[in-house]
Amino acid sequence: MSAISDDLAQLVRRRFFLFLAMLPGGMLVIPLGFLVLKAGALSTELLGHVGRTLLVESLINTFLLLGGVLAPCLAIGVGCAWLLARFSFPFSRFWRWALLLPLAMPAYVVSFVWISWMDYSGLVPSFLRDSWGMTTPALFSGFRSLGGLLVPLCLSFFPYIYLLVLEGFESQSRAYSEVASSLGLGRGARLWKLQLPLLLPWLASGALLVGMETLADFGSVSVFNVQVFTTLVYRSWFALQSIETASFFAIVHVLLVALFAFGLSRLRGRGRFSDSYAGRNSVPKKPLKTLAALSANLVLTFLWLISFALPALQLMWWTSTDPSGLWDARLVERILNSMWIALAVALIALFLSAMMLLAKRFGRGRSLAAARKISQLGYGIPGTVVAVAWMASLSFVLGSMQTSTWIALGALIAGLSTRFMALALRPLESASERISKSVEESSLSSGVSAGRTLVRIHWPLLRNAFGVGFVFVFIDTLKEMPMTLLMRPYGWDTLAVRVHQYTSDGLWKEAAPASLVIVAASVLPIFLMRRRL
Amino acid sequence: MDPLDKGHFLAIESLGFTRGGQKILDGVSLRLAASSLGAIVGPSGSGKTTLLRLVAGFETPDTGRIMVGGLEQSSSRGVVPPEKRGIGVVFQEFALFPHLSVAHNIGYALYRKTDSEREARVAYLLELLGLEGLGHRFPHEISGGQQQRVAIGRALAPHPSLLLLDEPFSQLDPELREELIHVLRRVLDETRITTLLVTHHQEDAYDLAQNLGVLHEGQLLQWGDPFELYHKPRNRFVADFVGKGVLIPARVVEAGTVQTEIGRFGCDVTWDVGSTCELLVRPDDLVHVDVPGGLNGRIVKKRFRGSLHLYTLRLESGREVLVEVPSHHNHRIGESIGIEVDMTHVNLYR
Repeated sequence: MSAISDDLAQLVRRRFFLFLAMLPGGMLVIPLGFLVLKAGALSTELLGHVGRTLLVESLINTFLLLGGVLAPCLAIGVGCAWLLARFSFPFSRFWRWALLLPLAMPAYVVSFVWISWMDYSGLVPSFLRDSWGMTTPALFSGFRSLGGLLVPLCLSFFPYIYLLVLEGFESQSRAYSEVASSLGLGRGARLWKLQLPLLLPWLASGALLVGMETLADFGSVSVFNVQVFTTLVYRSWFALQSIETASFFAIVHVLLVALFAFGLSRLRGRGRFSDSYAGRNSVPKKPLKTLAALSANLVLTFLWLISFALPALQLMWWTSTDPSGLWDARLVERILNSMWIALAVALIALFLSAMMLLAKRFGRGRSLAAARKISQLGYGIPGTVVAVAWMASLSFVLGSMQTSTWIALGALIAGLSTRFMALALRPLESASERISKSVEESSLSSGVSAGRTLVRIHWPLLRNAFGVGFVFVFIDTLKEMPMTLLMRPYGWDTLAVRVHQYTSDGLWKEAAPASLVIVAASVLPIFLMRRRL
Repeated sequence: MDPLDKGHFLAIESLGFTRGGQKILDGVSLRLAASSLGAIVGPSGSGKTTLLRLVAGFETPDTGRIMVGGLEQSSSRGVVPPEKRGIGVVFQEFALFPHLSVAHNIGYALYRKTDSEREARVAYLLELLGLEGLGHRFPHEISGGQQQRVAIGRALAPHPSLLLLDEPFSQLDPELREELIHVLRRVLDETRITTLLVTHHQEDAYDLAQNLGVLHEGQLLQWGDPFELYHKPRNRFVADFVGKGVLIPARVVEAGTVQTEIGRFGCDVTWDVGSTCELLVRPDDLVHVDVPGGLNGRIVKKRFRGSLHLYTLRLESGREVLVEVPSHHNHRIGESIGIEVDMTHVNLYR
């Protein structure tokens, strides 16, 4: 009798944890299901000739953009990482974290600053015309195009590759290089035949991140007026008012992203190996001589100036020439809106991640592993797609697109939480891996209660990871543009939304204060984490 | 000391190395004949691994020089870079490339060779090292002993002139150590490669080495054949570190003779009559006899070694000595047994 009730209790418990684990995945998958339903309702006539032309144009642009961003990002990222991982020179410790600062600049901010410099009436061409009497070179008149867009995107995204490859280089044991040199390989041969092949998993992860960011970008492409899927989805929604068309483009977009991610994960999978020797005795850094050290500093300074320092200075300059923008009551309101939504999203994402962790600890089985994997997909799905999926579901359930402010905000928070949950789960998972089953069991077997074990063992070891996860989700929500833009209730603005509205009217100066607040908030965590690098 | 002496393939001369203001190696000199195996033993932190790293060319010495095959490889003036030396190195943790299969690890250095040349060399080494059939596996899919043999194969592949092994026994359990000795002996017989290894498992080193050295705090205290190190240790540390044994007090009673509690021994020291010193007593210097009346010792510790027992005996003075006794003389702790002294090498230390 009691055996049966025990079994029952266990079954209930297992189901309960499975349910917890499936919650975030479900919040992602169910709206996507409605998206497919909506897109299925689209007839070929409705898509029309214009739609097909736009589809082809967007496809071409997407491929050009991916290639044009990935190649320079890989070159810059690997170059910086190699320089800082293998050599020591004055200021190299500063550059290690300073090169991450461009991550604090949303790509859409870097984009409009660069346009203000390089466009026909921009700073650089005007300077050339006025002081040198030069006619505007074709380069500048055509800056607002796909080619010009590559500049701010590369400058915004290269740190992802830099960061991962730096870690890759430094986890390579000195012994590998020494073995290779004792086998007769010189410096160049060691780089090509040993270090880069060993880096393949890191390179693939970096390329995956940059590719995903590029594919999901909405702010920069819209400032540069380049047609890709994110803008196509946005336009079908706002200009055509057609949820069916938006759903169709969103599905094409998500398939493209999946194709790209699948291709790279195969590459990463082939390079995946268990390296039990990693991280021990990394290769010693070679000091650079004066001239080389000077050139290294010059190159890094130039890169840092154009990717972070000068755009930041430009924002400060604009804001300071018209400080009234800062005291604007509406700015304060937008800051508050941005902050509380970021706070809510961060807390919910942490809650969902903690549930996932609990489920993983106490639950078993394949469905649990699958649920975990699905919940991680959110980060890879572009914000525009998640937004359209939620709107498709709402329209399906409510039968109309008119929703109350609170329902719209609820959907926005839910969509953002599922999208950014992976950012919170990752640090939590790696921290919880350090708490082995035997640590837990020694605490319990020494007579300490489960609750006290949680407080005395788990919380202290997970506290930092909760903090890191919170900061990541908070900042990413603050910077997030397309989902908020699509899903917010009418007239309800955040900082990012305001930046979009000003920049689509070419009002760079007016967009500066809101941008500056976002950048300042994003710099903080990078600054605080600089010692870890 | 002619550095071009063809009989000596590796010559290290007064090598000194400092790291962070700390002397790691101090005046180390040794010679190793071509096609022979030299082993350096010493406690951890004695500088063994640093010595290998200097020979391999990973570090630059502060003083002295290293000659290989009559050519200077390292001195304080500069070093030939490791990739130009043709010296194979097997690291303590093997450092197999995790992203390459066994065959690709072994063939790693042969990328300038044609495919068929490389394949032939890899196949030969796989067979030599008893790794047939494992070529397509990855390092994490094979055992520790196999990984080590892959590392040896990788080091041998480009026909190095000298092979360095860093702590080859430390990652292995006793059975695998036996196997490694067997494999190394086969490799040395086949390839005639000059080999230098460092280890703290001295018993394994006796088995293989033609030359044995003891390194202590950066100084090579003695370098010679294993028999000599065991039976004629040059100083107290070597006596203590190499093999088992105890030191018991002795006094010079007349020129060429010392007196101890286990008897009187002839020696060739020229110390003053009356001066005190210590005598090294190895377990094999004492023999168990059943005839009573001679020396006696009470068993205080007993270790079973298969064919032998190693007894720790307490003498009447309270001092303890070790004696090895055939296993069938099975006595209990606390029992007194008779012993006789049979000392061929009289080693005295002041």
